[in-house]
Amino acid sequence: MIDLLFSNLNFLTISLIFFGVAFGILVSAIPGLTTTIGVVLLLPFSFYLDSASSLGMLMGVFVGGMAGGAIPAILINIPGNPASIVTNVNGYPLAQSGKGDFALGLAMISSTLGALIGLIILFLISPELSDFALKFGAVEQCALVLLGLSLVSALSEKSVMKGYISMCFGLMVATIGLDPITATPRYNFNTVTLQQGISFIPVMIGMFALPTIIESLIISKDFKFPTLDKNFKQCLVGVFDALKEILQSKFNIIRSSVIGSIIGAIPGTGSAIAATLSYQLTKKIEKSDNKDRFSSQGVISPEAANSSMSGGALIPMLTLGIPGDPVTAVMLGALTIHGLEPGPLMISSFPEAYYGLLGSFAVSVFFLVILTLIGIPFFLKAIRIKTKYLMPIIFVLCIIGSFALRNSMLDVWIMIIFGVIAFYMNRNGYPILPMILALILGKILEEQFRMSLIISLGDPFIFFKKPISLTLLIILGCFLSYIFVKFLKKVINQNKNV
Amino acid sequence: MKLTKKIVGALAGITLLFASVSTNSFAGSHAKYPSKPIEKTITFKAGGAADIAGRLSAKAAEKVLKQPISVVNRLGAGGSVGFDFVGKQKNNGYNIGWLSASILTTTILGKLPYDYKHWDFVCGVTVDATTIAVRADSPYKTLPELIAASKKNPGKIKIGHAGVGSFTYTTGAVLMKQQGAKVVFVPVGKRRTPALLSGEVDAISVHPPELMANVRAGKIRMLAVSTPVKMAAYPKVPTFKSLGMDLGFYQFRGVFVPKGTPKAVIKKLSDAYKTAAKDKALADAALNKGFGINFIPHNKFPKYVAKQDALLRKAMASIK
Repeated sequence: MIDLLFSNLNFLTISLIFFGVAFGILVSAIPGLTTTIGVVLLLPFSFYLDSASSLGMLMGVFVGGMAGGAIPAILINIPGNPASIVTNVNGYPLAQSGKGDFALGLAMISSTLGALIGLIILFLISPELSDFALKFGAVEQCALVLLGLSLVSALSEKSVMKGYISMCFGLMVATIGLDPITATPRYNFNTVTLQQGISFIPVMIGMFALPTIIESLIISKDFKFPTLDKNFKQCLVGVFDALKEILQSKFNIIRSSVIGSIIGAIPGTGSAIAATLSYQLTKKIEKSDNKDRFSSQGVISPEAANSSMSGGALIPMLTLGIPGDPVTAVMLGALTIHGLEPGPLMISSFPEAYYGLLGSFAVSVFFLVILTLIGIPFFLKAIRIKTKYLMPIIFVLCIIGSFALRNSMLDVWIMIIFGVIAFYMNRNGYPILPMILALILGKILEEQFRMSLIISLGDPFIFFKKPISLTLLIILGCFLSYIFVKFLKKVINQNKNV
Repeated sequence: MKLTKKIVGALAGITLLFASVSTNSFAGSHAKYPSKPIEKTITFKAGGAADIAGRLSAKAAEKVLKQPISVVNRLGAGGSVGFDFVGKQKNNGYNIGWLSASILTTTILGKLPYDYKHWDFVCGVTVDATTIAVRADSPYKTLPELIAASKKNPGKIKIGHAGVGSFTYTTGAVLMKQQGAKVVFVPVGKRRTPALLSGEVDAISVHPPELMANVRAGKIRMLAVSTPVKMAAYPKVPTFKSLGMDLGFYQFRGVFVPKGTPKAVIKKLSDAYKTAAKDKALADAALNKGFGINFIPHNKFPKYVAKQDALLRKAMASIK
């Protein structure tokens, strides 16, 4: 078994994996371009390469892509791809306080460890985990999504109320497009293009990037990103500090990676959900008075989760032939082009391809460490480009990225419109993340809730009859009553004071 | 206020920029067609069976046309976004699209404000079956058994599908309606195979390519397929026709172009795809993924589409 892991490797395969990882980091580090766009761009080359090389390359993009998004999130407050949707919340302030190297070190090391844990889970218990993930049917997904939405307060830095208002806005936007059950068009102004609904990726690109672009180009003329005047050696010290910090956060790494792998293995989820859920939980669990310590936990958690998600997402693809996320959906196509058939028979019919894929995953993780650690000083240098040159480039890339997703001009307009909305939300203290999370989860919630009721023939108690959903709902109940009690105490105290 | 003005000004500038870009166009003559690369819109997700058929046939057709065909996936709203897009392009033969019977279902459902006469049709290339499939441990061994069981216990058997309006739903629903079966249809969307495997639904109505891996592993059993002839990839599965349940409409896939594309260009494209339909890579993919190759040339395809439209229109009205 072990010997099969690396039997496919030759010079060409290894160099293509290296290229894949570098390309993945680059594509996802560019705001606007996502990992999915990266693999779709490389898919045509699969026709001309042998299966081991082409899959190794795509695997590299997948692994590199999950890590690269953290770079712009930390350095310029714009997540490079959906996977890093929460990394900037704590990462950017760290960079602002002159610890850019430390924050990048945290993100890159936790990404690597996350990917490693994901790989181990994939190698050891993929059939078991895929059985468990299969249990997440309509009812269970509904309960999981409700839990995710109720934790929205963890994403609201200042005002919890404003966080929930932002969430409601996201839920409203999620209803645009074809009704998921009866396919009735809703709020589409009788246009064909709006029938597809509002996809969260252009919204995410616009809401994160445009406010920064507007801020730096139109509002404040002397806007500058936090730069570091450190040489290579000094940066290494920062990275070493990060390593020390991570060694003290083993529990966070393991918890976030396991959550990431499980979420990845549930078909219909994705890296954004994995990162956000584990971040929310980390924030609720790791109650630390030391603010600095929490900021580093807030970077470690989403980055470990999104990288381990890639291992999780491969599980249903390899064991059931069902992709766990958009990137694995493209990889499934690449496997098919080479006559391989991912599914229950994959391990027995194509052991070389199966273990070869795991082997290229391992090699990708190895290259990820090297490339990111060597890269940190260069990433820090890249933002020394003058804002007036950097921002227009990012704006053009945001347009390209929004367009490339579905080759639709509508997505470009959505990106711009929601970017402007986000600019005003920021100014008035409304957090953006709850809105984006609600947009992602709202669609799943509506679809799975109505489907649950169809399956139960209209019986609403089905949510309490299934063990997994009951457990999730009990956690939800405890959490909500905790908030309520806290609220009551506050009201009583206020009355006493009066 | 000043700030708002600045932002509005910036947006107006961007609008003008886009407007000037989109009016830019190329003029071309079709005498030496094709003299530049062709863009092929695929309305299905990159990597899926329909996309692979579209890409492999384009790759084989390239060799005949001696010009590259670049594939662009334009997704959304069950294909209507891509169908609409191709219809709006220049009718010079450099914008072609990869269609399925969804081009009919989306127009019949009114998702697009016109009907199939909005486009010109080049040729049919492949055909996908729709299958009713159950888990391997299901008590239903044949399609008639499943239908009979549903009549005994109305509302007990649940059939999962991609969504109302999808071709696979239409096939399953019309079949069950014609046979008088009393089943509940559940729009499980993308989670079709997981929903069947986990037992959320008892059967699913889908295209075989998404099931082949689990069928070969003996986890899922196909009860019957909708194509008129048995398919090479799964010769043992009976057809609806052999069970006396033929519906007459099929999931054909092929090439279409904007209305008014010159006849000579359509013929050239059709001839190129005729060669492509014999391509070995396409045949291998068909056998592996479980779709069929069924070439229909340019002089027969428009009539075929018109006939399918009439049949589908009638069938879909019956399940409304």
